[in-house]
Amino acid sequence: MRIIWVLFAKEVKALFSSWIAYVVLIAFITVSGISFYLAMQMFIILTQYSSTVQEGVARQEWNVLENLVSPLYSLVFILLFVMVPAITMRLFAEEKKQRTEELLLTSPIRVGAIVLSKYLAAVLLITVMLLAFGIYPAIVIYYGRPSPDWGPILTGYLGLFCMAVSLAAIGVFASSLTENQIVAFVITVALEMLFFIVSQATVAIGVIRLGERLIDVGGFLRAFSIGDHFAPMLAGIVRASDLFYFLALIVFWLWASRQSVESARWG
Amino acid sequence: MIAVHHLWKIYGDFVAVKDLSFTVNKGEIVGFLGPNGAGKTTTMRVLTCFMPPSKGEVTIAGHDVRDDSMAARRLIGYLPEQPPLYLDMTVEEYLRFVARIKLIPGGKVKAAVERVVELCGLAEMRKRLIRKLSKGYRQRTGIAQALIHDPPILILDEPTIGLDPRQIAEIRSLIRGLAGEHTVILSTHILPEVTLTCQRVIIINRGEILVDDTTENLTREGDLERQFLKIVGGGEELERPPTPAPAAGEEAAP
Repeated sequence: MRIIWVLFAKEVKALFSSWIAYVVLIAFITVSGISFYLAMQMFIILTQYSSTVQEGVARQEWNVLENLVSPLYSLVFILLFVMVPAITMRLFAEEKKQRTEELLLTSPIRVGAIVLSKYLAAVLLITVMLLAFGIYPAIVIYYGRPSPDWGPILTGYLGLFCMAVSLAAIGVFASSLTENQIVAFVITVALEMLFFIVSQATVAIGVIRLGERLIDVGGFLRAFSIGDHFAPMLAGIVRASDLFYFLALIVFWLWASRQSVESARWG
Repeated sequence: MIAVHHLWKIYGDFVAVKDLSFTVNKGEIVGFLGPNGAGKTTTMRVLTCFMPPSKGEVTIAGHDVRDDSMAARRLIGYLPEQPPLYLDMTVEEYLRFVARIKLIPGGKVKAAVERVVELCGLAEMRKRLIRKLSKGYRQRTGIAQALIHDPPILILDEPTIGLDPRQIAEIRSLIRGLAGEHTVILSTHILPEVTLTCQRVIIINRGEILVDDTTENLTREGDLERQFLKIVGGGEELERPPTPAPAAGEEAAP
């Protein structure tokens, strides 16, 4: 336990001394702030306009959840796709480049502890990022009149967090493959996109006929889609299966990272 | 203390180390000599539990590097070819971090850092960022991290590379000072280094041991340089300057 703390403290310090933490925090807070401002403006204009017209598309009940919070979360969802790899890309790549990996791997500590502490450092920074972002949903809940249903606002927020920490596990893995941070970044984005676009497979592949049996390959692949597990949370539904999906992603990619770091020993 | 028994290390179809066997007794300083690419670094990486052997058995004070590697690692201080430094840490932060991952108990970390800072002459640099250190001080910091947990075994991969003559002399006397209490294996391709610091020499070429003898015996019939070339390269190379000048630092210190 103590060793994880020591390694974790070192990682957190490195995130801040390499400026990555500051850049990511500032970029995330700025962009998410602008997104909130724009979504809010849009919402205000829509509601004001809709109250002046009698009929047509604009004449409908505009709702805080569907027309403000949901678009905002979707924007942040995309933003996290880029910010998370930026946090994780240096975790192992830098150790390889500076040859400090050799120090870690010849010390009497387990590779699992190294992987876990690096991952936790990334999770800490993601948590700080999302806490800072939390002011916007908080504003909506606090000032929204009539009071919005805060359930979906909170579960959507939880969904963003689950997604971000799952992507971080993918990022740790990608970083363990290379000594080049840019390469690690690109691999992470590519893997993220795979988990994102796999939901299209439902349509593209669909059901495959194998002799007498019909196999729903599309549906099976769809179970891997990040978006499909995020959507229910955005709608206010927290299912155990979705939480389990994110947990499984984390466990799998951290395990893969451990194997990958361990394989550095084989030359 | 160190027993290597029919060690093989094979990468794909390249044989880096071929059936190596030797033992090193407690308190010995052994020079590991060979041309570049002879398999010195690979052997050291196996000894330090960085990589497992492809075949054969290696034990460190009775602990097998494969099955009991955690116990073996605790006994070894290792300076790799390129010192494993975190450039964004100060010397003191770095040494404290290494002390902790070498599992020195919390209360003893401070004393351990003080000891190696003193021993390696880093007192004036302790608050400096490693990024700002010259090559010589970086190398000393690397040696300090190898010594921090006062390991009975030291494995030093080219410890004096890239240092100026005065620094080289200092490091050599530091290594000689470790004799008796510590078992040291150091690799080098600088021949005088071996005569000056080691009691025993293992000459290795293309992954095989060619000579394993005391420095005294080897230098009896003329200087080691001639011996080395006779063994490793054949006579025709005698005309050429035998030792490549210590490689100029790949990255000049800022």
